[in-house]
Amino acid sequence: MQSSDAPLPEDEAPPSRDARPRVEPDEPEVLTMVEVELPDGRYLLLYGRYAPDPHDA
Amino acid sequence: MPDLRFNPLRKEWVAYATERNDRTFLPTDFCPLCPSGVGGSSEVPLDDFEVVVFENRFPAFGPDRSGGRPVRPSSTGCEVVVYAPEHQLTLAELPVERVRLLVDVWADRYLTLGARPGVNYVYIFENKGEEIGVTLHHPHGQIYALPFIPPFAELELQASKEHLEKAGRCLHCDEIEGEAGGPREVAADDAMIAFVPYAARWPYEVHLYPRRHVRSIAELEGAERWALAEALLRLTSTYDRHFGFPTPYVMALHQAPSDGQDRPEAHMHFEFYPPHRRADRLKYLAGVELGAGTFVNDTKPEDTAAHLRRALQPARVGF
Repeated sequence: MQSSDAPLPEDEAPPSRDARPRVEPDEPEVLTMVEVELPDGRYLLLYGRYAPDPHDA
Repeated sequence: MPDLRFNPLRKEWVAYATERNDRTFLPTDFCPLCPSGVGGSSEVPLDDFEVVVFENRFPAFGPDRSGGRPVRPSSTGCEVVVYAPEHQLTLAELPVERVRLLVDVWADRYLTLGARPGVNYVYIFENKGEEIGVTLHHPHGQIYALPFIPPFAELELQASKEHLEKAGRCLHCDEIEGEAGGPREVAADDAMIAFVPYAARWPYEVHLYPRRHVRSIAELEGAERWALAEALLRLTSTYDRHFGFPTPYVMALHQAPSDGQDRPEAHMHFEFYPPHRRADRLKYLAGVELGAGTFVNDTKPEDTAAHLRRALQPARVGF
């Protein structure tokens, strides 16, 4: 049985932490939320993202 | 109507919601969470959506709805978060952009619900799989806006607060430092780390943390949110690869309460509890767990962490 302090076999070693997240785009998008009220009084919150037109800034 | 009773012997709240006993149960010919088109009969009578949030028709907490049609609660309550319109998908199969949106939605609901009067804790979670007790397979999670801090969160916060006062450091940050690069680490990158905890209750329990000390999901920055989305996908798909099927689990988000206190001792993180101890065996809660509150684990966290590392996509490093 392997002690928790024992060195790990090569093939079981945790992966390197050199890698950056695969997807790290710029953050031009913003969160949007549209509230929809249904005829029975219930409501839905519709979430999405959109990229603002930089010319609107 | 939903009701709360306090058990003084265990110092815990128990929720009663008798309407839930008759809620929709694993329907085969109709999904209440699928978009049913304008005028349709599902919970989402729209043609399409990305992520949609609405009040749970069968809440465990919240205002009295017995008098008629549902109302918008002004305080505590239960919400459903539908991850995608596609019925057959799971969280592990969503595009990373959708999971990134989900992270934003969770953050927004945490702030919005947490600002309501009477809400002291926003509990975000997902139950996946019939073994866990789901009644609908459509990919979705839930949010409970609770009037109290639930016991597990309370215990963690108290332990972390005591450690902070004694050692001047966050207990979670110390846990992360102790697990990084060790035998229980499952995966990590610059922003996130996932490991099987030293004293895991469940065989394949994994805790997923942002490395930076942030109290809530709302405090994550943009790059960290992308990293979290990646990590959630990697972890859930790793479970699926290891077991060879869409793996059931409970996913629980622990973070700072919404009780108006600063809470520097809080460090947001996800906890995953898959019920399987091997592909063909479930871990059941029985006499020792339910009657005595002590978990018996048939596996060593160091071994299950190694199993999960072997199931990581080989082409990828870190998350």
